Amino acid sequence: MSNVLLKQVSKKYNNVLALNDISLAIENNEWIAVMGPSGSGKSTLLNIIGGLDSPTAGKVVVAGEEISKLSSKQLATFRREKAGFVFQQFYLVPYLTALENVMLAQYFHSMTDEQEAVAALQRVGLRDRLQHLPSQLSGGEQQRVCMARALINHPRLILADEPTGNLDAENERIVLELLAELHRDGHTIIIVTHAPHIGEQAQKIIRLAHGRLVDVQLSAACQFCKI
Amino acid sequence: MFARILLKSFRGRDSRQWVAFLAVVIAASVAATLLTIRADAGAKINVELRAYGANLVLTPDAESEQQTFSVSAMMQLPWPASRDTLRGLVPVLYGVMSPVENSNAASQRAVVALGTEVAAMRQVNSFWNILPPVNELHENEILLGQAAARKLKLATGQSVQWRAAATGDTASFHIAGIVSTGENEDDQIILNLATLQKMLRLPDRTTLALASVQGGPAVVEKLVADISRHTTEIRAKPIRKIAGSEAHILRILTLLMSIVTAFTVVVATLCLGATMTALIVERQQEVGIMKAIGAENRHVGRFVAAELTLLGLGGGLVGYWVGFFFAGVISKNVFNTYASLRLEILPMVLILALGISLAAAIFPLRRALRIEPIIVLRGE
Repeated sequence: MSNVLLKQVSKKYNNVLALNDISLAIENNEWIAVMGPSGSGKSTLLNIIGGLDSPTAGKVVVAGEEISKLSSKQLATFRREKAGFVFQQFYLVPYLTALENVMLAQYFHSMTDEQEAVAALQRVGLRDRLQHLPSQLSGGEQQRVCMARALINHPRLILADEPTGNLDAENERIVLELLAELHRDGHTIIIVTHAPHIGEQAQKIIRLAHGRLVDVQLSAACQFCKI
Repeated sequence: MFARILLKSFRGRDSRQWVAFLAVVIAASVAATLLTIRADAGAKINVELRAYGANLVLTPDAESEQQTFSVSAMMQLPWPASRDTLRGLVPVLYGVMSPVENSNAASQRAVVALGTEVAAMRQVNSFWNILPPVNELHENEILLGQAAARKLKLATGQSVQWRAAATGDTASFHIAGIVSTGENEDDQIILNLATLQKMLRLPDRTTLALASVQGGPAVVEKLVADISRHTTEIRAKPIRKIAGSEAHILRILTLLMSIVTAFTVVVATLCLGATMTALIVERQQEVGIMKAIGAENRHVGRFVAAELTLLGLGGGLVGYWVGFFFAGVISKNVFNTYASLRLEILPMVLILALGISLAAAIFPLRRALRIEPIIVLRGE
């Protein structure tokens, strides 16, 4: 059974058609890269799969749930239980420490567990940065906090929108290794990227142009998924 | 975690949050100042007005056809036990007396004689000015009203023989002092009550009695009712000039304070509402992030409401003390005493401050709930 299923999904912003009749199936534990030029609808597709945005037409089913029919309250529940987001801009709450930013996701989900949050940060290599504010962390460290936050509620689906877009080569490598590790752990990963070498890490590359799905191809060199 | 986020959120704010806090403090302190003054004003105005004299007069009942009533009966009336309520009670007996022909008085015109207890009279009418100060008149002593002394060409220290017009009885009196009241007493002579009763042959009788009752018009009215139930010989009447003024002043004061408080509350609510709306706009991204990772409107609403509740309670508490300080300053200048700390006002001020905060929360809350995470994440 597909983890993510899109049937004839379109999204229109005013008169601009951001997604045009997209149909797509993503299996459990697949690592998908969404690529295409700017304005091709990559982020819109990711946001619709993550329940951050709703399609204008079509059907979106994630983990057996038709999210295109959910109310905003149900979508909030879906986001905190089924999806983990990694953003290019990190989007951490500036006045909360790394640990608190992770615990914030726990708080919205159910109950906070500091030990679990510490473990999540340890997993991303930030055990010694727990009490640092985002402004005291490097871009790579902030992105890793963002990943720990995405993982803390154990979602099966990880959605990453240009996660390495603001990172140097070393931090990019760390983040990609973490994504590979999550993939090995059984997570489904959908990553939006411009960079071909990052797309190559995925099992499958979906190409968009002008909101249309133009190509789906298997990646030639998925080095991490072979590990 | 909720408290942790809330406190961090407070700490991480810029000056705008302090402007919001200040708005609550100002409204709460104005309300606290006015409530404290209003609470004290009744008692203090009452005390001030007591200086203008009695606010209750006792006379013989009109239907009894008596011109005097019994002092003993008067003492049996249901007076308040507390000296704080009954500040003074003094009988006043009137008669007519004139200096006898062979006295030293230049004029032998008859004058009104007033028999009373000077000490008790000064408790009731503190404006009585006696020179040299006299607190008690002995049997052979007399005080002259300043106009009477001028007309009779008499002065302190002289002795004069007087005759009571009603009985013809005579007695010699030493002039112990000159009284100045600005009222009828200036034209009268003042004797010890017992002495005048003896000269008029009216033992235990008095023409009227004056009382100074503290506690406002309601207390006076109640006492009047109690007395009328107790006796038919004596009639009690409030002196409206004083009791009425007191009620009128308090009414105006209350109205004025209500208007000022209402105005301040409205302005503070608008100011707080505008500031909080600006704060929400400023925090749009933060709210968007929270919603993106799963926060529902109830979570966001809880943060906004808790923040405003804290602002309200904190502002109310600070405002209460600031208000108490200003009430003290005003009270010292107007009444020459400091305002008393009234803890019963604290809940009122806190509720008011909380009300301001929650009323001001409506627009920012609506704005916060309308925030779409995707709009924020797209940077629109």
